[in-house]
Amino acid sequence: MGQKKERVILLGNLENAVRKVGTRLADMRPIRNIRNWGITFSLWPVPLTTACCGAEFAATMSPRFDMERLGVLPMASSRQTNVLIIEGTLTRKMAKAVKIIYRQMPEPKFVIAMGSCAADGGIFWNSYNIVRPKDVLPVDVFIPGCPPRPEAVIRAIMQLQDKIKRKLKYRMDAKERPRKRTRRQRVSRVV
Amino acid sequence: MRVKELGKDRRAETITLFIGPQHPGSGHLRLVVELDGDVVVGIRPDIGWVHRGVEKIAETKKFVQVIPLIERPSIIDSANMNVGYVRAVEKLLGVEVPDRARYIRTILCELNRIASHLYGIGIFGNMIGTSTIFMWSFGDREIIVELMQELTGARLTYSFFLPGGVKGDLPDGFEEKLEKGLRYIENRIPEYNALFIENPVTEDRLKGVGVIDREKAVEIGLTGPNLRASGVEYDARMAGEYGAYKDLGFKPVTRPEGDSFARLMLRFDEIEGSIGLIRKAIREMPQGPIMHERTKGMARQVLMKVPEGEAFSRVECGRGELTFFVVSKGGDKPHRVRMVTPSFRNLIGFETALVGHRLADVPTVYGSLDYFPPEADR
Amino acid sequence: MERVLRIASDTLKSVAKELAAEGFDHVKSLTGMDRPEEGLIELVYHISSYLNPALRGRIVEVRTEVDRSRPIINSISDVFPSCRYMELETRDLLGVKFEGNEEPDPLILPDELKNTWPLRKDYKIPEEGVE
Ligand code: SF4
Repeated sequence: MGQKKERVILLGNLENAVRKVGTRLADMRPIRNIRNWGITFSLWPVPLTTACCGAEFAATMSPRFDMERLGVLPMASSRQTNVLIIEGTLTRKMAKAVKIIYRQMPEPKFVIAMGSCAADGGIFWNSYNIVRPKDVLPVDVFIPGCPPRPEAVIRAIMQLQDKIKRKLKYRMDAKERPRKRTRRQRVSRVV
Repeated sequence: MRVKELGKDRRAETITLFIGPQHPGSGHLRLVVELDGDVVVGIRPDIGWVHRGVEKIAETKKFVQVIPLIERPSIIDSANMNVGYVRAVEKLLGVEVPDRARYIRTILCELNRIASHLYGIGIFGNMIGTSTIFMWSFGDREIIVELMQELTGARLTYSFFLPGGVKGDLPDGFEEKLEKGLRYIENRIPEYNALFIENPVTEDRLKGVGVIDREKAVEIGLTGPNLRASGVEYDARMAGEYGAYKDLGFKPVTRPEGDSFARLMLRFDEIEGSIGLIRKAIREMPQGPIMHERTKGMARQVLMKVPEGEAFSRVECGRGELTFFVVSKGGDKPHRVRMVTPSFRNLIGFETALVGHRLADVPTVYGSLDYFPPEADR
Repeated sequence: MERVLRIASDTLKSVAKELAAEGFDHVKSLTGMDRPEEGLIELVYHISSYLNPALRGRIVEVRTEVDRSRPIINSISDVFPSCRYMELETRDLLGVKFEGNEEPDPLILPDELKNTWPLRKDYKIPEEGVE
């Protein structure tokens, strides 16, 4: 544990104090690793077939590619999920809905943008009615292709798992801002 | 149960429920449902969640570049979309497709119809809570997708038909593989029957639900399997304007009931019909060129100037009749491309089919109409 | 096209009624075309029949024109309910007002694009190519 000791100042009521301590504890090395390992294999996406890429995403769920073996299981309600997969073009009308869905999801949450449309417009780059998902949501992984093959979707899921295993910082309370960290601390967390 | 049956003096007579746009169906559609108790008294579909302006973008692209674009709205049925546009451009150019190309087009279109119906059945199964059927039909669809990939090189977006013909001939040994795949699908249908169709739960949930009778279906202009399930014998393939359907002696299947069950069964019937058509096409396929002389070669395709004029074409997609109206002003870009897709025409079916049913029947009717939102919104 | 009818915009409804009496029962497609040089918007209806065996598969093309600055025309969705959504779509994308088929909200455009008519030729979107 090459981490510098940090002091925790507990103020205010008991509940907040406990919450703060819990957050700290969950962020310490051994617990954090175990927790991240757990999240890695329970990525539950929202079924959000925004456009034609959804056909390939559905194929990825099918027995031939079987995403469930990676722990990916679509859930019907956004409250039960932690991954938002934007399956293709995001139109203006849908972007508003997607924002609401994203806000409904509990922390920690991740966004995968699937298809060239979701990356930068793709074949519809000059359309009057699309938005780029990166302007709306914090995207973690992009999948190129039009439509991406199911193998590419699986690879994106594995990349996301990799990212989570290495980097994820826990936030118990969505409203709490991440603390400012010095550069050294940040490095020690990432590596 | 309606509110009144519980006694009067209720302040809220009806409530308005918004279903969607995020729901576990295929793509996005919002249904604004007016409920009296749990009985649907009014319904208004709210579309446009996937409207990407295909018709406008088509005006900025060359004629051959439009092909991938018009495939995107119905990506699971792209060969049928493609053939519709290409037919319209061929009419403008005045070229006739060689015989062998017509047969290859028929084979790919019918394969794609099977894949598209399997997709629809899978989503339908998912919607009524039978996820086994989702798994089965998506698993079986992969076989067809593999076959089409062998023929065209892509899983979903083929762009295989160009004005004047097709891009390539059947690969070596394709016939045997095709026959094997078709036999597999054929043998699977009895298994679907045993598990899904003759299942009392399915029958109870689907029979008599969402009935659209013959006169109503014609009046609101339904199309495709939904129309034929209401007993109207119409199929754009009957006209024999494209493909080899005239030579193959195509006959549409109909069912008289007009309920969700009939619509589901009609899809299975059409899968069998398509298998028969493909077999016949393979048997009777003539030898010869696959591309018209005037449009042969990539350079001719890309630099193609289309004479001034207008052309209307109609083809039968997996979900119904697709019409294209292409206007050229003599340049290399179309002046106007109008596509009226089957899902857009079937949209009105929601209003008819659902009124008087329960809220729990909404997914049933949605699934049975096989509505694909990107196709409707374009 | 076997039969093309070019009519004035105010006779559309009576023509539609005549066609319906002849046995045509649904509208296959409704195309709006912007013609800014002439100050017109052209509407093309493709009407056909499902039930009448003699007419099945035959398509009638009905063409009419409306003034681009005042694009108002009678709706025929009471004669052919099948074209109701097509009319609403044409209203959204080309700004043609169909009297008798009015809804406050746009059908397929988002609210912020209401009253911008993307399919009109003066609505420019970027194009590919070197500038
Ligand atoms: S990337 Fe291609 S397949 Fe995916 S949504 Fe865009 S156009 Fe459709």
